[in-house]
Amino acid sequence: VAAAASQSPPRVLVIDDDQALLRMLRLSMASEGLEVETARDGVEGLKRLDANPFDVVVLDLQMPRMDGRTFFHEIATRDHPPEIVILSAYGAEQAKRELKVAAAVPKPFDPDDLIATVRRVAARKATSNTN
Amino acid sequence: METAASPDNPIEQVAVVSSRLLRLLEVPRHGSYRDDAGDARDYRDFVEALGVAVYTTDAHGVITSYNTAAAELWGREPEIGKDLWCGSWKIYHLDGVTPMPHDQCPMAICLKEERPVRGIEAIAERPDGSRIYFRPFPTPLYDDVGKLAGAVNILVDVTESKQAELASVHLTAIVHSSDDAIISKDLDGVIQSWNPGAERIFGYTADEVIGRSIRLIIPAERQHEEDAVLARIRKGEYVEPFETVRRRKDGSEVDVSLSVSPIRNRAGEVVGASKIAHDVTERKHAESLIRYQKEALEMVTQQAPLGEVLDFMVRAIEGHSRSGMTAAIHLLNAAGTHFVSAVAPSLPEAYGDATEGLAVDSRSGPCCDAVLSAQPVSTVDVAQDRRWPQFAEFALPCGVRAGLSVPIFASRGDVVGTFAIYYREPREISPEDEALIGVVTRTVALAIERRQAEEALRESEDRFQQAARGARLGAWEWDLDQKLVWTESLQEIYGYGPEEFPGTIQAFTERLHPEDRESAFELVNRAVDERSELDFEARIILPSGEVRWLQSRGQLVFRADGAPERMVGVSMDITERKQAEEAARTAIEQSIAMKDQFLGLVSHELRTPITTILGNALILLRRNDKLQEDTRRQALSDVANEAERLQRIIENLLLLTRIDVDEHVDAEPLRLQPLIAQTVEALRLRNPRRNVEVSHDEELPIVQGQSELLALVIENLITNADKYSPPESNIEVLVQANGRDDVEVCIRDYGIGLDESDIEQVFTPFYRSARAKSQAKGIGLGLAVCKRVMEAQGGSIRAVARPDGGSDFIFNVKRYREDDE
Repeated sequence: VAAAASQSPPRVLVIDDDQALLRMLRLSMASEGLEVETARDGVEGLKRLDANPFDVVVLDLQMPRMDGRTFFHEIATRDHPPEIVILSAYGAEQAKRELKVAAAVPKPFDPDDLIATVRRVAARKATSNTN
Repeated sequence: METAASPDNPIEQVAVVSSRLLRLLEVPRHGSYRDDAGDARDYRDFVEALGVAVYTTDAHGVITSYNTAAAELWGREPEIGKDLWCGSWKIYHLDGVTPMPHDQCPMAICLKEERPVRGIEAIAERPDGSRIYFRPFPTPLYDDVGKLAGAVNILVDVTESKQAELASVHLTAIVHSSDDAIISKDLDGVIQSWNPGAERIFGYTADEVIGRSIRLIIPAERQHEEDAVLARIRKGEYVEPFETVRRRKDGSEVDVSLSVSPIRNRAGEVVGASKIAHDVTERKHAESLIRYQKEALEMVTQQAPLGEVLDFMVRAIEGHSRSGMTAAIHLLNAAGTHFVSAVAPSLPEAYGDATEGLAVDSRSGPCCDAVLSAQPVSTVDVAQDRRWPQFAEFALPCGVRAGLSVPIFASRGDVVGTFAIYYREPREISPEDEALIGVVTRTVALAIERRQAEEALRESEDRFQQAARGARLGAWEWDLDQKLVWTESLQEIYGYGPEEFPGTIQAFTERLHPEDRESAFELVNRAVDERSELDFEARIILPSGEVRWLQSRGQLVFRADGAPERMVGVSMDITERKQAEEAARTAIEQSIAMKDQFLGLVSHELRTPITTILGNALILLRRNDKLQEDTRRQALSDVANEAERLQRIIENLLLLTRIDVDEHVDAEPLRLQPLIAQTVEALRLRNPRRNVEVSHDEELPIVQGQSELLALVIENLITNADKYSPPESNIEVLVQANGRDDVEVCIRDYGIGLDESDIEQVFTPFYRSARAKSQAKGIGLGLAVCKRVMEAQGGSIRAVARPDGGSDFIFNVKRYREDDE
């Protein structure tokens, strides 16, 4: 199973309203071999999800238009929802407990740590799906 | 009492018979009779049997015999053959004081002058001190040859009749000298006797009325009284004293107290009545004065206006006086310098007009003098009196010709007014009037003083009430049962109108907020049970539905025996304080919420750029060689921009905390165009797609401010415009001189715009409009900083919501002036 997961790289959607942050995450993830797409808010994120399946969504909580929580509840009812990794500058752990998501990463962070978290979450998802 | 030696007098007869007997019995010449002689024994038996005192003497006055009755009368037994003249211990003349020597007693005279002595009475004093009035009948005795042999004396005890005679004399004297009328009348009411007292009271002499009916002095409407009196007298009953009115000879009436008793003859039959009439005119007069004063004091107690009380007093004493005087009361002002009012109901209006407002001046009149001297001042003839030249002018036409003015003293001793009495004719002051005024003035003083005290109290109560109203404070008293007393101010607090509060605990409970009733009563009961102070806050509901907070504090008052009697306290409306507390609590809660929000926002705003910087830096460090050139440049550029962004946020935060609202910063002359140009260029680098148009007057004046601060304001406003408007829309910067003093800068966008409510709050720190929140991230700091910065430089900033959408943010900067430096 682990081999199968490693064979196809995880598909990751990063949602954050900060352009510079998105650029940095795309750069770091892509350079580590992840398939990355980005969205600037929840609304755009939902469109991307509609268009393509993702293993993991890296989600910022504080965003204009549709914030992270609203987005989370939107996708929670879907079939095979992606795993969520929360990015937050404030209260990331609390949000993780509250929303019962796979992981939360407080800002600022080492991009390699985030990538490791995303891989781990994606691998667990793959395992649970096969089982 | 008749004492003539009439032959009809039985005692005289005894004396004569006895002397004859003695002669017949041949009384021995030497003054002692033979005791062995049977005749002598017969004589003794006879004399003893007579029962009257009898004794004999010889020609020299030596007592030769006496009987038992004589010894009893004297209270001693004289020595036969030795005691002279009389067996009495002491003898006095009838005055009871002048001693009568034995050798001058009637017996001595009888012997010395050889004649019977009659008509002299004397008093014998016994050794035990008791006295006997007696009448002696000494008669000479002669022997056969006609020579004086001695004398016999019969002593008749007249004590009883003498005493009755004396009593009668006394009685007559009493009746004669009595002030009361003492009249006797027969059963038909015909006057039998009439004493001088009756003459004085009723004006008739005895001669005029004796033989006439008593009905003469009874007024027509009281004739029935006599019928009743006579009816009782006929039954032999005494008539208890009763007060009535009788008529004098001159037709005037007189108040009398009458008592009537039946007169009986020796047989005990009622034959008439004696009547005593006591003149009660003076007493009635005095009583009426007391009654007036009592009435006046009652008026004072019942809080009648002072003018009414004084009017009553003036009329009362005018009616009371028998001299026909008129009276007036003048009141002084508090300083005692002017008469402020006159109460003179019987004097013409002109009198009051002339005296009210009159300055107290020694030349004005007797009342002024009375005030100044604090002494009564009188005048017997106003027309002749030189003391007050102007007084006569108004006084005489008012019928004031003579009079007396008395100062009215308050209890502290100061003069509060005057009491004046006037006569229409020149005359001395009636002593009765003077006494009258003396009595009444004290009552008047009391009335005035009481009223002044009441007014002072009322004023102070009014002041307290006003203060209590102002403080929304009221006092209460509770009898620990049902009764509750509230001050007016407290009734107002509870929403009760005048006279509406029924004074019950029930009325209080009804107003209490239902949620507070239980706790309030628990606290009240605890205070009573534990004898502790009461202090509680509770809500009340007014009739209007308004809810107010009241704080009540109370304290128990105990009886002498230590049991709680009542509770007194104050209640205060603390609604405003409660609201302020509530507002403060809300503010604190809000500020806590805001702090959380602030921390969240600041963390986000700071940590996001740091994440970007850190992430890019780590990528460049670890994979520099694997990156494309343009990718590397992009990463480095993002690092730089995000570092700048951090710098901007930190700058704003520091400014916001550094610059207080009232703080002014040092200003310097500067030009706006370069500042604007730099900021616009910086934005163009960050967001090349944004089109910013700058337009300004050709000649822009130099302004004063701090270039760094102004640059921050411009940058904040342009950044906002960029953040909150569509990427393709224009941002306009308009700069123009505004009047003589200012330069106005307007940053215009075509973005999300502002609500009316936002205009108010958009400059409040951490405030973010609903539209702004949905549009972009931010911490609500920029505009707040702009406002503080502008105000610190003496300028201003405002927001305008344009009807076509979009916002104008306009700030004014002061023009530079050299003289300001």
